[in-house]
Amino acid sequence: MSSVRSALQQVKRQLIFMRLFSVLLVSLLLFFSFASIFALTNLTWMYALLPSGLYFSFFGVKKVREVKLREAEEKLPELEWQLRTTEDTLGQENEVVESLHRRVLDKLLHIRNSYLVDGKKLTYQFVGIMVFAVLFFSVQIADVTVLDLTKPDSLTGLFVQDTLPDESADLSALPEGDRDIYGEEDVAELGDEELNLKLSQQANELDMNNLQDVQNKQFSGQEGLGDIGATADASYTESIDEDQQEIVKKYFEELAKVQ
Amino acid sequence: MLKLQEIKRDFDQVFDIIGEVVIGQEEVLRQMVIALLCDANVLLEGYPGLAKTLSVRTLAQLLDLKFSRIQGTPDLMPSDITGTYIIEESGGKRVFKFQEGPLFANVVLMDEINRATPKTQSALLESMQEKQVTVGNKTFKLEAPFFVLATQNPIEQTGTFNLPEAQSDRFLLKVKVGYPTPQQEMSIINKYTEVMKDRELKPLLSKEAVLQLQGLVRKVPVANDIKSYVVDLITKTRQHKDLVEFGASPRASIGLILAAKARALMEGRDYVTKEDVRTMAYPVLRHRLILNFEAERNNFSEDDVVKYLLK
Repeated sequence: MSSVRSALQQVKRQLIFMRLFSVLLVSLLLFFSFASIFALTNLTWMYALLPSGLYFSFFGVKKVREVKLREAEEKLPELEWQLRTTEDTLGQENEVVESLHRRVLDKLLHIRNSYLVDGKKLTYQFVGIMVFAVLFFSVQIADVTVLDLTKPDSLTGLFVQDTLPDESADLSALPEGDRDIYGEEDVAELGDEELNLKLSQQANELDMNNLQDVQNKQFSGQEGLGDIGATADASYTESIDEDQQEIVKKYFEELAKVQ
Repeated sequence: MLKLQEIKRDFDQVFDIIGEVVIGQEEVLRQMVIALLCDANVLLEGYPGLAKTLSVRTLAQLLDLKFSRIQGTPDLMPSDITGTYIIEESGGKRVFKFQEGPLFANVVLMDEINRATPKTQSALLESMQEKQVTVGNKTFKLEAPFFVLATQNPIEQTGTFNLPEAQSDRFLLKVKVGYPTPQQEMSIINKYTEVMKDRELKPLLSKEAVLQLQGLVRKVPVANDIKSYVVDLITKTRQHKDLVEFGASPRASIGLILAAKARALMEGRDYVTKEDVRTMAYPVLRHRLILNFEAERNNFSEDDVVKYLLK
């Protein structure tokens, strides 16, 4: 019985190895894909170690824990239900159970480990790794950068550019509201009231007979210039022809772009 | 060393010969043998004239088992089947002697069990369960193997005493005997209208071999996944209140595993597969499910519900 037990353990070890190998390949695939993306965005490829490392550590443990003989049975249909039955009856002893154990052991001795390998899946994984590895090394050698994420405004620049109108665009095609450089009339109303500004004369008069040394003053933030005020006097009005307003508007927009 | 292939060969031989006598009932015969290997009993349901008696008698002959047949009638008394004491003169003295009834056989066919009174049904069911009969204050052990097949006619329900659920639960399988196909019926006509005498059959297996096989069935190992599958299935019968009023009992779980083991052994395997369970779920469960009004309104049979639960 110990030989059946060890044969089943051998099958399980093989399954664990296969699963770990598969997780390793997927981790490599993740590494090369992330490394390619980071290289194209001018970031260091070392960051790619993080997602691939996390994947390997998490799924490596998970997949090893989930190893069941059923997986081997799926790859070896002639042993369907027999491996599981044998595993569940290792402690039992009767003629039927012993017959099953002997037969399973005999079959396992004639089965090569390569039968447990999923060749199709492995091929896909290898091809994927090769593609991304070639992409990564090509990007590194050619020093290609699609987007430079090391510059802080590289991303915002992209978005701002999208919102600015094209230089060659016809300004007359702008909506009616944008044609007035003073803005919407119903939003801002230009007044014509006068602004009266008064300065308190008392605060500015100098008594030469009452001069004192400079004293340290503690400001608590409460003191303010209460007696200084402003009132509307007259608004600034500018008369520009409507035809000329377009040119002025374009000038300011160009000026904003340069800044 | 266990020779599984020899066991399979023996059974194949038995089925080949029965197949020559009873045409078109292969699955029924297989299920009957499964119940015999499980040391359990079978409820046969089918219309008259479908070779139920012939099948059972042929099987008993091939397995070298003593066969008896009881016809269920409303005036059948328990003592008519168990046996009774008769007065016999011996050396000038009159003494009571026990006269064995038809239950003292290995294979008992109780035809139309639902025509017998509940009292007689109980006597039969007690013998099935205890493998013994009690007459007066004396108990008589029945010879092993003891295998009861009770038939029920699905029509002509007037004047019958249907088996209560608790009693039908004691039968491991309920086997439905169907009509043969037109080709099979043609063979039946040719066979039974040309030959006068029944074919002489020689036993293929001995009584001891049957008992040994019954012992082997219990030893067939079952994977824990299969056991979980059976428990899930039986639990589902109790949970689907939309179709089933009352589900199967734990006796059904035991019966299903046993039947699957017997099927595996009969096919020369020393392990049970999910297919064994799925195949045996129908005869094991069909008399243990009580469908609700909704299922009956939709014309669902017990087999339809089992099929649905197996999905």
